[in-house]
Amino acid sequence: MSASKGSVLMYFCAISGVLLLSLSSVWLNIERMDLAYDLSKMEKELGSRTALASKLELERNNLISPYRLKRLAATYGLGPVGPGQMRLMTGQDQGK
Amino acid sequence: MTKRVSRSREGAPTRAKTDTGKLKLLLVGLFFAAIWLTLWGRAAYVQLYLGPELKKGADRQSLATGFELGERGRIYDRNGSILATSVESKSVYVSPIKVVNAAQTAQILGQILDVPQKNIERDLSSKKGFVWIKRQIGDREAQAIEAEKLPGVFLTSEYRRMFPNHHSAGQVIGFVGVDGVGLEGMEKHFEERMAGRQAKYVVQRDATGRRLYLDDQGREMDIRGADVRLTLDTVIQDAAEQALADAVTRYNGRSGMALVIKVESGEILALAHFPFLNPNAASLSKTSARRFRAALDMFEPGSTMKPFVFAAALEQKVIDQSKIFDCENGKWVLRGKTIRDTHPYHWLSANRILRYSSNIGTAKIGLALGAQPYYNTLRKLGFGERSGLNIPSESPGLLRPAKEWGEFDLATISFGQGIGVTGLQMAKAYMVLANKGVAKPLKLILEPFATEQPPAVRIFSQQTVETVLSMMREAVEEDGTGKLARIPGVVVAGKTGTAQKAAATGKGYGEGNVASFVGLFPGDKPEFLIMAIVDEPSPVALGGIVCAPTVREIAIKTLSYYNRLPEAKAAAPQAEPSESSVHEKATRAPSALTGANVPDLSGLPVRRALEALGKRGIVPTLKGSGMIISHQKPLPGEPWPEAKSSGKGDGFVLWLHEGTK
Repeated sequence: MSASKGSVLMYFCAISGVLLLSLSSVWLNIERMDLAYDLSKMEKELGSRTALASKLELERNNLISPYRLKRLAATYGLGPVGPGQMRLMTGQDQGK
Repeated sequence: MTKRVSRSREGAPTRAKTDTGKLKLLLVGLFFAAIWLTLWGRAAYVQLYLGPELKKGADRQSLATGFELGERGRIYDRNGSILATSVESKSVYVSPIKVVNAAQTAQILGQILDVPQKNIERDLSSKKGFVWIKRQIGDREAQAIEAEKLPGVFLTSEYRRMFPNHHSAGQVIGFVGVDGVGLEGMEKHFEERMAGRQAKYVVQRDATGRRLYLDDQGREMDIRGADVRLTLDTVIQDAAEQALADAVTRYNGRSGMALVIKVESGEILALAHFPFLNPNAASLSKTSARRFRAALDMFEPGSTMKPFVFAAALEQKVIDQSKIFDCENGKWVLRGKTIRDTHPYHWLSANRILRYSSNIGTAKIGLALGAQPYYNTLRKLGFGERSGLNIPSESPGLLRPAKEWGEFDLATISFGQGIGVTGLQMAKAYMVLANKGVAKPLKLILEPFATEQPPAVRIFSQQTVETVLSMMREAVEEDGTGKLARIPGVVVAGKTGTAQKAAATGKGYGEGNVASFVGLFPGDKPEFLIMAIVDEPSPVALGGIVCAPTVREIAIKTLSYYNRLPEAKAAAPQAEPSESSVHEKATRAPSALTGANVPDLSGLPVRRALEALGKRGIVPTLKGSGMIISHQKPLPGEPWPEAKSSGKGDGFVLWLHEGTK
């Protein structure tokens, strides 16, 4: 009798194990799909942010290009330094 | 053990009934076993026999092949400023069979994209499954199209090449076609390195067609193109382009080029061409504006060649600095052909021949030197071969073998006629003089780093070069042809050139000239080599007038950028050509600077106040931090303090505070 009980228990454990593994597999698959959706979404966002960063970097480079800075400087009455106009600023000159 | 036997009411045993029950149980068991086996059989059939086929079908439904195109590499200047980069932009295409209302679609697309409606209607009537409408459109246009949700109209991402510095170094950088393939300049030269590669990978699709990220398989490779870093400096490049454009425009030239080279390293800091080429809109430019003239265009250099015949003659001990030559009063007939000078001279020493740029004197030195030694020197200097920068389609120039030279050829080649050179060759040859007689290769590329460096070869002795440089200094600092290149406080060595251009007919010379000037800054220990060339200037064609001021202007900006300009005290105050214009532009100039009393400097930018005081020879002491003068000592209206020779603490104190400008 105890032997048959042991067999039943063994079958029960085996079936439970199989069920558990199957459920785990299903759960993992669902998680994997969720992650895949999230990753796709994040990839898309990363792509769009990278593209935006590239465009902003381009814009920044355009704004600080000598061509633009020269025009901006001219509006403030600034121009290139000429001979005899340069003064190299040292720490001593700047005072406290 | 007691045996249980069921009995009937009459007492008879019921064995037959028990047997039927067992049979039933057996039948049920067999039935379920059959079902079980059928299920297992079916499962095995599906899994083992049909499995591979079904998997293929499922994969076809759920998996798709994805492509990813890498970004093209960038081009940087020496300081890391972007010269060329790729940004993602949208392109519009249609699938005509999916378009519902062609007329309305064409109208909407035409309005958004600023494309003629007729063209779009023609595209929509196509029987193809895929037709481009417009490529690389702006973000606003893409958003507008997305908002319309037009059936059959799709957007796809592509990379668009952008050049943030507009026309700066346009011919050097080059440009790409609409498919992102380099067509000119560095874009073409480094096509293989910079081109983005393509990754092919598998993605999973869900029922709605959305693509899911599975793994990195197929995308492990680096598909981004490699970057390129040039030796150019955008600031110097802009200075060179501005000065060159002014010269070409002012003197009605056809085109021009200018180079700035750092002597120590041979790195080209600026390589300017005019007319400009804006690579952002290269298709709108003329073909002639796209030429990398410094490498492709060959010209007769004229007098800028003279220092080389002097150097060769000095090296061969044919002349010394004081040896005199008869310059024939400006007109000399040699082999039936006349050589002229712009000014008549009689007897001139060698140094004065270079200073006044006498053709006749130089021709006589060339004749004294001989054809073969001069030819050998020119070859060693790099004439007659490509510059080594590996520019696509670079010209090797034109230098005929010495054995083909007649006496008149030798005379004319001595003063730079009858020889064809490129701007890069000329710069490379002058680098030998700037580098104390040792040939140094030019550099335009910092990255990828050139692993093979040609060995340094001494061509002239240091003494020879010192002598030639002293002659070139005379050409600028004395009453020579290059005096318009003088910069107060900086010793300048230079040589002017005014060459005749060959006639279009191919026989003799025409009316056109090429004006040029090559300057070395400082002239005693050159740090920068600056060259400007203007093609066909008019009405003035002299290199000393057309190009020397251009080189001067570039040099001032270059020297100030590298803090090599003399400080306020060292410079002669009277020699400041642009000072007045700077002050005119000032928002508020300090008043009464020339008066007996100190003006009110408060509120002025510190730079302008220093300029103003520097003009009077006063170097003030600055206190505090910021860019705006808050108050001063002496106070406005007080007498000017005496300037001290030390340059420090002239008794004038300016207090600073933070300001917006």
